Amino acid sequence: MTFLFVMHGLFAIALLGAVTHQAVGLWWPYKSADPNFLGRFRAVKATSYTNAIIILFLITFALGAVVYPTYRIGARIFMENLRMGAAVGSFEVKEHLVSFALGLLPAYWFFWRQPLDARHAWTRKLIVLLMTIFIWAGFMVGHVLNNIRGV
Amino acid sequence: MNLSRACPAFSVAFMVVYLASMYLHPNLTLFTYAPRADVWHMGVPDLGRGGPGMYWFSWLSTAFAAGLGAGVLALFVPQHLDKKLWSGWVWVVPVLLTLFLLYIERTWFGIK
Repeated sequence: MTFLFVMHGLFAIALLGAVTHQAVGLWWPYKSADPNFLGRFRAVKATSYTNAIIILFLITFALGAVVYPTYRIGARIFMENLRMGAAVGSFEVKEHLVSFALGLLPAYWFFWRQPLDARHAWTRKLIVLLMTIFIWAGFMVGHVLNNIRGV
Repeated sequence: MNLSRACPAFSVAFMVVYLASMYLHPNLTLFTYAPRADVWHMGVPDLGRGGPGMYWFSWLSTAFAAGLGAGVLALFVPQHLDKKLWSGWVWVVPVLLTLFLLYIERTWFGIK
């Protein structure tokens, strides 16, 4: 189980990097010919991340679903006994936000299909923003809770 | 197949039904997983000392079925109506659902 949990974390980090790159490239594009480090981070082709994000999300989600029962009968009960309501509640919120992100995937894939439809540019930007928020929230909550009590 | 209708319809229905299943628990919960015994139960039984039960898998399954149904139904929407539908619902719905989610989960954080 520990191996799966570590893999869940590693895939989450890769997913976080990919979705952050896409969001930054989309919301804060860099246009200079000679970019610095931050510029190179921004100067990515947002389209190229779509399939990687979908695959990484599905793998991370599946691994999370496998280790979830271990959290439920271990770490969560530990936190409940200590009356750490905010910690338990944070995981509840994370659970639902990543489920929203799972549901959002078909629309995300559809609006990023090539060739991109210019009519849906804002929808595309806002879906990526939502995905980024959901994934960051999931990662941060998981990371903090693991510091409180590992699976 | 016209994916321009099926994919957004799936996403919106999935998210709405997922949150409805969670909020209306146990009314839309089809099955329960008991992780301690590694057993799946139909419905929401009283697990007693065998608890706690997990309902998340059931909510996801219900949402997936609803999404699939909505996606198939959306394929039958006439082409002229399809063009009038605003694609922004795909991000407006999750924003509203997230606000509602934060509202219903507020008690965990000591907010009445």
